[in-house]
Amino acid sequence: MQQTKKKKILTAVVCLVLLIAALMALRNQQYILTLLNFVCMYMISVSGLDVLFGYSGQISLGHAAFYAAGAYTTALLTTKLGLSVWLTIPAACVVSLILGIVVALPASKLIHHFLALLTISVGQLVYIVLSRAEFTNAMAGVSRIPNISIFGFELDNNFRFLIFMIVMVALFLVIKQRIVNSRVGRAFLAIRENPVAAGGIGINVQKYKVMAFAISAVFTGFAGAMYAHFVGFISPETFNTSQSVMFMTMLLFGGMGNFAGPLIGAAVISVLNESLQVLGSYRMLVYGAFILVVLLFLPRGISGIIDIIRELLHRRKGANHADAA
Amino acid sequence: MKKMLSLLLTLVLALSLVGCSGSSGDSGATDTDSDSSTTEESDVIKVGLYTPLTGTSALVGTQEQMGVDLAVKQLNEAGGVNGKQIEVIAYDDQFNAETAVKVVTRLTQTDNVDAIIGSMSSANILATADIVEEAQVLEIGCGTSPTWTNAGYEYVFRGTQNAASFNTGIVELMTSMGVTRLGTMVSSTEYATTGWAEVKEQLADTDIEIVLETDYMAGDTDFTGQITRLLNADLDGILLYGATEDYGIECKQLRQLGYDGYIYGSETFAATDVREVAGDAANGVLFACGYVIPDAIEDAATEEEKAFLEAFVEEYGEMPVSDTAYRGYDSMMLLAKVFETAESMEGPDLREALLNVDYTGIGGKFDYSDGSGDGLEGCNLYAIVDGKNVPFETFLADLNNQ
Amino acid sequence: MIVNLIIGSLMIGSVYGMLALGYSLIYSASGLMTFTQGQLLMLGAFLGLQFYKNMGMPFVVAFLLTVVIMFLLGLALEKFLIRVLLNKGATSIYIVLSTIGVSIILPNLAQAIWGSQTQQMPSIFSTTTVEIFGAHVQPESILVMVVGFAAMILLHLFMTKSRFGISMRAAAMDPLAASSLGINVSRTTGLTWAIAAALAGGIGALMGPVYGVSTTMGDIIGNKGFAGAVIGGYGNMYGAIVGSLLLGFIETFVAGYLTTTYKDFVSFFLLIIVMIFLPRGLFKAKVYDSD
Repeated sequence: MQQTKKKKILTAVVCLVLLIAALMALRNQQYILTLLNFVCMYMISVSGLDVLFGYSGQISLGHAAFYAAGAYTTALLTTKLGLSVWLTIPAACVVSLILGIVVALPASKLIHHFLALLTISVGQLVYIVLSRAEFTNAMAGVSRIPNISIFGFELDNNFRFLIFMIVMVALFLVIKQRIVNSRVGRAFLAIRENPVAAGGIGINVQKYKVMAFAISAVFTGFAGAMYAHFVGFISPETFNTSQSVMFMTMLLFGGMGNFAGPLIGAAVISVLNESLQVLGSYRMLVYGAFILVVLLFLPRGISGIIDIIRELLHRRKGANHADAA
Repeated sequence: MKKMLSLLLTLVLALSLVGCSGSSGDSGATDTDSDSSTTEESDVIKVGLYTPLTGTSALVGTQEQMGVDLAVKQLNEAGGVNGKQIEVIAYDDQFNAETAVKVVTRLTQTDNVDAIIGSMSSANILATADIVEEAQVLEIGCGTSPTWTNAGYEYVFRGTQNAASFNTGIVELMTSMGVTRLGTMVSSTEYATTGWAEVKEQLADTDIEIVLETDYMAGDTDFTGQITRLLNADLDGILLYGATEDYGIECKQLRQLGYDGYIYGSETFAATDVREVAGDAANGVLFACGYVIPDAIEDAATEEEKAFLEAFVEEYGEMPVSDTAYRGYDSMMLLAKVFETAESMEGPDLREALLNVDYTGIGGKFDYSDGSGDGLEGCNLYAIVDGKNVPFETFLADLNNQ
Repeated sequence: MIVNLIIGSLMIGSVYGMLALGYSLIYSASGLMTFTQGQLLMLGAFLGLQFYKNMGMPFVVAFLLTVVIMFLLGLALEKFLIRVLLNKGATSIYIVLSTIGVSIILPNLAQAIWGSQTQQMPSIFSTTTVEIFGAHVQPESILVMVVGFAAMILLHLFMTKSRFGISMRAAAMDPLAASSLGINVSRTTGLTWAIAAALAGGIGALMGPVYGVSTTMGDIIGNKGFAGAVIGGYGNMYGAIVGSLLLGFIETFVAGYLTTTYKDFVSFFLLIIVMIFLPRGLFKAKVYDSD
C-alpha cells in the first residue's frame, strides 16, 4: 500500500521535473509557446464541455457563446472602465455562468437533437449581437486589452503566460475531477444514462442539468477571458459556429467522460490544425475528411486507442501464457 | 481489421506530431544560430504570407496568393534577389483573428521569415500587429481598412491604397452626381462597417441627407426586405458597402424590384465577377477604387499593368478576378526592391530601406517616407456602362453631352 | 411594396421549405439529424452550372441530371457513411458530427474544383422580368416556387399513395414491426437521404440564375431551412413547409418594416421561443427528453 503511494509521488515528481525541463527547453520557442497557450485554453474549455456532454449527456454546439461571454466581459471591463483583471476575470466567469443558466433553463428539457439546434441558435444570437452592437464595437472588435498582472508581475510574454496557464489548467482539472467524483457527478452520470430512471430514483433532473450547463459555461468563459488577455484583441469572427464545432470535435476526438480525453483532444486537434497549414487552401478539405475518418475508425476517440493497445498487449500476454502451457 | 485501422490512424497522428515537432526542431537549430550570430547566412529569402485561403473570403485571399506567387516566379527566374531565391511560406488565416495569431507567430518565430505579406483581413493585421512589432519583421499588409496605419506601428505597412481615399472618392462621386437623399445597404463585416462609418462622417459636411440605413449579414442571398424599404424611402442614390460576392446579387435584386437610379459602391466593385453575376443590372454603378481589372489585356491603363496581366494569363490561363492579385504582386515586388536596397536582412534595416524605397508598380508610385505606414496614394473613380468599367470623367462628359 | 415582399417571402420560403423537407424526411424515417442540406444545395447549384453553362446542355437536361446525381449521392452518403456508423453502434450525436464533417468537406471540394469566385448561371428564360400585380419578378424566381410546390405535392402523393412511401412511413413509426412485416428498413431510410439530397440539389440548381453560384451560398440557407423545419414541427413534412414559408415571411417582413440589422436575430430568437413555448412546433414533433 505504502509502496504504491511512494510510487505515485515519485511519478508526480518525475512528471513535474520533466514538465519544468520541457518548459525551460522551450523558453525561446515563441511559436510553440503560443500554440501551447492556446492548447491550455482549449483544454479548460473542452474539459468544461466534457462536464456538460461527457458527464451529463447534454450536447452543445454553441459553446463559442460562452467563450465570447468570457472574452468580451473582461475585454470591455478592462478597456472601457479600466478595472483590474482581478475583478474582470471573476466577472467574466459570472457573466458566463449567468448566460449558461439562461440557456440551460429551456435547454434542459430538450432531447439532444433539439438541444443541438437550440445551442446553435444561441451561438448565432450571441454572434449577431457581438457583430452589430455598439457596446462591443461591432465587427471592429476590442483592441488593446491589457496583460494580466499578478502582484505587479506582468504576464507580458508567452512564457510567463504559459506558466500561469498551466497552473490554471491544473486548477480547473482538479475542480472538474472533484465535481465529477462527487454526488453531483454521479447524478450527472445517472442522468446521462437514463434521465427518466434518474428522475425515478429521486434525482432532480432539471436542477442537475442546469448545474452542468452552468459549470461548463464557467470553464469555457474563463478560457475565453484568457484568450482575450493573451491575444490582446478580440473580434466577433473568433466566436462563430465553427469555433463551437471545433470544441466538440476536440472532445469527440479525445474521447469524453474521462480525465485525459479532453486534454488529448485539445492538444491533438490543435497540432493537427497547425500541421495542415502547409496544405493552404486544401486544408479544410483534409480537416473535414479527418473528422470522418476518426468517426468511422476511432469511435471512442483517441483515448479509445489506449484501450485497444492495452487489449492487444493483454492478448499477446495471454498467447504467451498459452505457449508456455 | 478495425484495430489495424485504428493503429494505422494512430501512426498517422504520431507522424503528424513528429512532423510538427520536427519542423520546430529545425527552427530550434536556426533559432540558436540566430541568437548567437545575427548575421545568419542562408541561401534563400523567406517571405511569409497569411491570408484567408478557405471559407467565405477565400476568393480575395487566393487571388492575393496568385499575385504573390507570380511575382516570386518572375523574380526567381530572373536570378532571384541578391543572388538568392525567394521562398514563400503561405498560411490560411481563415479570416479569423485567433488563427492569424497562431500563423503569424509561426511565421515570425519558427519559420523565421525575412518579411511578411499580410492578410486581406484588416482585423487580422490589427490582431497580429504586436507580434510583428515585437519580432521586428517587416510586414506589408494588403487590407484597405484605415484602422492599422497611422497607428504607431513601426513595422506594419500597407501595400495598397488606404480605403480612406476611396471613401473620399465615394463622397466625391455622390456630390458630383447631385445626390440629396441617400439610402445604404451595408454588410456586417469589419471592412464594410468601418468604411461606411467614415463615409458617413464625411457626408456630414455635405448636403446629402442619409434617409435610410439598412444592413445585412455577410453571406445573405435574399435582400427583398431591405430593398423594398429602400425603394419606399424615395431616394435618389443608394450606396452599397460590402463584399464582392454580395454586390452582384444586390444589384440584380435592386434592378428587378424597380430601382433605376445610380448605385454607389466601394472598391470591391472592381472585381470582375460582380459584373458577371449582375449582368445588365450593374449598369449605372459608380464606384471608387485603386485598381480595376480591365476586360482585355489591351485595355490596361499602364505598361506595368499590361505586363502583369500578360504574365498572369500566361501563368494561370485566365485574367485575375479580384484586384487583390494586383496587391499581392505589388507587395512582393516592393519587398524585392526593399531586399535589394537594404543594408542587411534585419528588420530595422529592411524598414529603413522601405522608408526610402523607390518603386513604381501596377498601383502607381509607392512612397513610404512619411512613416505613416501608407505608401500608395490615389483613388480612381469609375462608372459601369454597358457592362464595362468606364472612367467616371468620361462617363460624366458623355452624360453632359446627351 | 407589399406584393414585392410577399413574392420575396414565398420565393425564399420555398427554398427553405425544400431543405426543411429533407431534414424532416430523414428525421421521420430514421430519427437522425443532418447538417448537410445547405451544402448539398450548394453542390447542386455547382452541378447545374457545370452541365448548363460549362457543358452547354439544355436546362431541363442539366436540371434532371443534377437531381439524379444528387439522388445517388444521397444514397451513397447513407450507405457508406451513415449506415456504416450506425452499424458500429454510433450514437446519433456522432451522426450529427459526421454530417458536419461532410458539410466542411463539400464547400472546400467545390472550391478545389470550381474555384472560389461567385459564378453566374445564365438565365433560363429569354425574358428578364415578368410583371405580377405591378411587381417585377425574375421568371426563375417563379420557377423556384413552382418547382418547390410541385415537389411538395409529388412528395405528398408518394408518401400517401405509393407502396414505397407507405412502407417508409411504417418504418418511421415502428422500425421493428415494419421489418418483421418484411419491409427493408435500411433501404427505406436510404431512400429518404437520397430524396433529401435530390430536393436540396434540385433547388440549388434552380437558384443559380437568381442568386449566382458560390461555395458559401449554402451556409446561411442551410441553417434557415433547419429553423423552418423546427418551427413547423421537426419530422413533419407539412410542418416543414408551413414553418419554412412562415420563416420566409417573418424575416422578409421584419427586414421590410422593422429592422434589417437584427433580421437574423429575430429569426433565431423566434426559433428559440418556439422551442421553449411550443417545443413540438406547429405540427407537434417529439422533442422532450422524457416522453
